[in-house]
Amino acid sequence: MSKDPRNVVMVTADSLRADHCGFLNSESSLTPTIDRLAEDGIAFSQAIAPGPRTPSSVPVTFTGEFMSDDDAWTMEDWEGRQSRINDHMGRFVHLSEQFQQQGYETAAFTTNPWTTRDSNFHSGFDDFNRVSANSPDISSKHLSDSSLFKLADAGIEALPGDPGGWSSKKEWFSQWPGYFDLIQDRLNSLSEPFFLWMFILDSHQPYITPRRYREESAAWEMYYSIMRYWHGKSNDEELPDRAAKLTQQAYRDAVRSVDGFVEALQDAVDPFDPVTVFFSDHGEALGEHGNFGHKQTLYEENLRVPMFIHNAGMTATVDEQQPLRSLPEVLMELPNPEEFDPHAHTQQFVVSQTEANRKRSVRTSRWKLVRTDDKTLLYDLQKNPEETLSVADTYPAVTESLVDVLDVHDATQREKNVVGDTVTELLANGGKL
Amino acid sequence: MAELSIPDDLAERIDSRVDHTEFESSDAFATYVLSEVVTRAEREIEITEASDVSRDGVEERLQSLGYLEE
Repeated sequence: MSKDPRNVVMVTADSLRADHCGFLNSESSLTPTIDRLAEDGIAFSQAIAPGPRTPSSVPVTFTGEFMSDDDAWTMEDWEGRQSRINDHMGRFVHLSEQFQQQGYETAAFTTNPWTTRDSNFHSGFDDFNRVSANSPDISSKHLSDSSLFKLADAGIEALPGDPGGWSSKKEWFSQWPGYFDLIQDRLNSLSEPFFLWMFILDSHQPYITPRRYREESAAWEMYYSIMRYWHGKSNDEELPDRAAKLTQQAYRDAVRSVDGFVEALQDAVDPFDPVTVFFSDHGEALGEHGNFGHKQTLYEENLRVPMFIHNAGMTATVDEQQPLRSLPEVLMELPNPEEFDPHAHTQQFVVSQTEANRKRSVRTSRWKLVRTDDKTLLYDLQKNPEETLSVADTYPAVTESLVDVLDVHDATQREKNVVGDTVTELLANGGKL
Repeated sequence: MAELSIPDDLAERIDSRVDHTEFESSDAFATYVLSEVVTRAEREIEITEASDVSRDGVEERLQSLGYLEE
């Protein structure tokens, strides 16, 4: 068997729920390609995100480390939040840099505004492509291949000012068919071995999906559900049942589109025989706990994500918990996967945190403890998978054990914060403390 | 893996810091510390690439995707 390092392709699908993928939920038929690849390869039934939103998940996934507490920003300060991610990515040799150090050519296509040069995600990529309306890397015409979008864009761009805030709303139309030819072109020019990362936004709200993937929503239903959702958010109103159903429908169509991407990508990468890793950065609420989208909550709909590895030379199902935080270690074994043990990086206790670190959870296959500044909740994921009833008082021994695990985690984070702060001071003082 | 020698008293001080944390050993802690120090020192002397050409519209992008509500 050849010992040349394998090409590695990594796909991150924003906001894709685990239970909408057939290989994790037999009642779902939305993802035939994803299911086939997962079943042919290594399927992870309990992949857990380190946080419920992109800023609390992807930087942790890339570095293997949680972000430190920092008084220099607040959740209202987007520049501070971005700067925090930037600093965090600079503290560690992260995923793409590790591939680069191994002699890989590295390339990225990312659609999410938290993973840009300003947040230091370009570091480690020989070719970094931000897919957005005012990107320095690609034309905005690549945001979508929808004729309607192109027509609207040409028409509105010709008007004075920025009517309706169109320039910012273009992001809503980020659809993979618009820029897929760029990915294809890049694939054909990469030298091997290569590491290619694509972060797609197609299952992220608002769920605007190309017609070819819309099996449930008419165009007007799709747009109505979006407008109704934003109206409800702006006015702090609950989504009415009809709008909720249309939103769920639109989401399912968006998931179909993600599966379409995986199908197209599989055809494109096949000649290069890569190991492909697919995962979602976090889940999405569709009405559970009164929520839609992805808020700062640590429920299963937020944290449990689909994940598979394809073409690593083995078929397996991993039912132990696989934290996304361990992905750097997992990926570093894939250049030579002959001895890869897919169970090697699973964990009995998986910690997740919200962006401001105010809510933390520790999860086992049966229990989830959630801790905030003022309360401790325990959910029995087997008897109460909806996480509607805290049983912290009913199972005090379990609660205490998981509190201990979280205390050790918190102590570790404090220790790491001290290291980080000390290094910052050291460098600021020219090597003196 | 390379080996590094440190004074006994420093090793003891590291042991006490590692206790009650997720670090599996003093070696793991020392590796973590040294890795961060070296990584950041190396980055200090790298010429950093300019950020994206324009920061215009970043806030609007984040807002349009719902990231600035909470």
